[in-house]
Amino acid sequence: MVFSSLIFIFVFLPLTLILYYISPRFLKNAVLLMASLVFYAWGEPVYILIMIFTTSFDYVCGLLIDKYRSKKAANKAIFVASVVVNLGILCFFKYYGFIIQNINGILNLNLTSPNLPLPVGISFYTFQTMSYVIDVYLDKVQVQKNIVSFGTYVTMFPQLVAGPIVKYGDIEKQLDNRQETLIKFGEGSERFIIGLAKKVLLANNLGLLWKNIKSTPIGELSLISAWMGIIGFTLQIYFDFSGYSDMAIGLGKMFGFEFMENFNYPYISKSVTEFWRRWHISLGEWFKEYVYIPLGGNRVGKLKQYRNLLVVWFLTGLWHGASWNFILWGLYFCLFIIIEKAFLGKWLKGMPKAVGHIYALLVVVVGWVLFEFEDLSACAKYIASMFGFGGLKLIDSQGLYYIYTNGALLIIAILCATPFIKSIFLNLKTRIMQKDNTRATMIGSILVPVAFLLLMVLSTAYLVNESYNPFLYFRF
Amino acid sequence: MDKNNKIYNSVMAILLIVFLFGIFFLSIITPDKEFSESENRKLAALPKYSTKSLLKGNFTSDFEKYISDQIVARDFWVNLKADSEKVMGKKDNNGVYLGDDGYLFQMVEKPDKKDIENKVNAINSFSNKNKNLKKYFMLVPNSVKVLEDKLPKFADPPNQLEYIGEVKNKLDDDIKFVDVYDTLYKAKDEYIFYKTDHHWTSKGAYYAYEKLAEDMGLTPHKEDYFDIKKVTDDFYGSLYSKSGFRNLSPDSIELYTPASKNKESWNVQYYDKNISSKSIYNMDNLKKKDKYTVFLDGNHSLVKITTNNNTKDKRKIVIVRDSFANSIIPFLTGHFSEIYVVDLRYFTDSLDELIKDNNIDDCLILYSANTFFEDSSVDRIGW
Repeated sequence: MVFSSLIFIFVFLPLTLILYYISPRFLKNAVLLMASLVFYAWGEPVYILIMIFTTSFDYVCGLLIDKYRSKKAANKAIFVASVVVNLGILCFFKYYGFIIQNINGILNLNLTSPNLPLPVGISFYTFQTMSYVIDVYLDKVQVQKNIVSFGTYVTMFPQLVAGPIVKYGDIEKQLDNRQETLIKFGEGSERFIIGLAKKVLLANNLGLLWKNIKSTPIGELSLISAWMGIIGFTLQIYFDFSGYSDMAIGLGKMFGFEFMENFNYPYISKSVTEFWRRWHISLGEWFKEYVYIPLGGNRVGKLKQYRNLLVVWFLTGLWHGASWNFILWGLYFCLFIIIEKAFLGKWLKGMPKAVGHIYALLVVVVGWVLFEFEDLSACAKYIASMFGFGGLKLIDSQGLYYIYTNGALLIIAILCATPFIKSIFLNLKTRIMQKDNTRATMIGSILVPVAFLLLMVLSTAYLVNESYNPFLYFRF
Repeated sequence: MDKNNKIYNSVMAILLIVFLFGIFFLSIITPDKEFSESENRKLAALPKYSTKSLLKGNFTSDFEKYISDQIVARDFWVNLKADSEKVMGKKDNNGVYLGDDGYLFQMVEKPDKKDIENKVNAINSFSNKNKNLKKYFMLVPNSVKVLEDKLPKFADPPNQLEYIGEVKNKLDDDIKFVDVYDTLYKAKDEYIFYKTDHHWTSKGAYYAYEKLAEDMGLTPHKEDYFDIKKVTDDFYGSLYSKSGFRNLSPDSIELYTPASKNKESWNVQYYDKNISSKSIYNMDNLKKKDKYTVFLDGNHSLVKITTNNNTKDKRKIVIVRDSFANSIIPFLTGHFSEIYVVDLRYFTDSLDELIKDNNIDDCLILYSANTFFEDSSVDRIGW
């Protein structure tokens, strides 16, 4: 199931909320766990077994590691086994085909690999269960003896399918000790509506623009169209992913949980380093804690530090997909981060802010081309046409048409990608709330929610339309 | 501050809860709808549960379709989306342009040159096999070209005339190419194409008929030869359904029937359904969604129209066509004794034999440009 669907919003969520809130405290996690299993099984009736297996397996490993804490050798063995099994499962379902492809290429063989569909969310929940086992092994967290609580941590539907990746330590206390309040629920509602609007109203429509431009044969694309396309995608993926994270955080709040932020206006960054502190924050944090720092982080000599960065970025790229363009995408950013660490970062700080903004956006936007084209030669052609190679026109009527019909959408999207709207909104909110005049407060407190109601209504309209499927007598 | 924060968040919480539960309960209470007029399809019903379909994923996806189809006030949501897109400046949806004056235009793909060559070759070889037949070919440009002034600003679809010209050049000399672009273009400010459907109107077909008659060496009947009757002004056509655009005025359909003083009468045989009729119009179809099927009941593999008026030469003609021809046939009945109407998508017999067995004199191939370029059945003309 996905959040941005009628069945989730108008059937699953109301039912789950009712069940959750009528249950006594000691049953609440069980309700959440059951609902999450239904949520997952709805889309993956068979693959849910993998998730259940991973959860049970790591629960047991956690218990064993804790039990044999004094026996160093056994302890370590269990830990290693757990990591191997977890990564093994992930590799098998996600990377097996890719690995076979490369072996075939290098050794000139013709091995076949089964074409397995990827279990939804496996990259997310595997990283979560591994984080638990590692932290128990390193004695950073208490072992979780209650399998329902542990299962809730792994499978909780708000963050199961698309993050944020929640480290066990961040949520440990909340599992058995959290408060649901009306205020939190309201904050969660606000967040959820924002996320839904980002996904349905902005991301999906930007996606249409990108889809049209991406499918135009490269020789027919004007320079401006090429830029419009990739800027459209740049905005689409941001609103899609951050919108989903907003919904996750909002839903978490509705059930009393506080998750970490996953996005912080990444496109206002002034350097690539800064970008990766604002984009998909939970993934960066995971790699930092479990790969970068254990390798020595930046506390080793320059060369070793660069090696550590290479490893982290190779894995970050690989995490995004089983294809070389994703790995290159990761290494591409690694290169810029190393250069910034070496001297560019300091230089940028001495420059006017605009320089940093333009530089960072350029690097990121070109990066997205690499991300979107698995075929590297198509990727290169697209980048070439963005920079005027290939003898293309600057602008053609198709490009003008795109500007004319998508201009308003792009402008709104760009505005929403900056803190501009939020700061106006917060400004308004504080000014209303500081007024002693309770009537003004009441009015303000109604107008703003009305705006949110409008967002909710529009989002619903667009969702209903996704199922618009006319039967056409077209050929007649 | 705290109190106000509490009020604000309470309102937010209540807002979401009321909205979610409101739609949830209303959708349950309101009875399920069976058919969607605007989408011209059956709406999903509650799926039957079976463990097998659950494991295969069918049950869940069918259930989701059911929820989407049966959500309360479905048409309200669809209309709201269409309206907000208009506000945002969107000028096309689902392959349909929204033009000026409420005109919808089908977006067309660039035709493939090799494909055109193949089709014209098929027609040429058919022509070679039937040397005694007098052959005519009308390739009708669609409204996306004729009414291009009404397209949204900067819209730049492929130029149909370029490809129509290719066909004309490659066609054998003994096939008379009937060029109707100029005729239609001259009348572009008249109601010659439907606004919400991809076909031309009876008036548009009439103008094309005048040009066709001229090329065939016939004297076209003037409009006063016919009784022109508006039979509906509530026609929402194919493009309306496809595009999802709303708040557009419907089209009206006019039927040209020879005035009774001209004493035309017909016998229409539908071979695939084994039905015959006395009229080339099926008035019952005006009650259906696709009102264009009032013309010759839409599409059949082979229809034979026998007229019993006194034409001087009593010529017989076969029309190989797409649905555009259905609007022009009413004008041709006054010139031929027998008209055979063939749809290559369904007609599986040999066209050559049909021509030979019935001593057909003339052949008219009539397609709208878009169908001609996109449909593959034209290749079958020689089979």
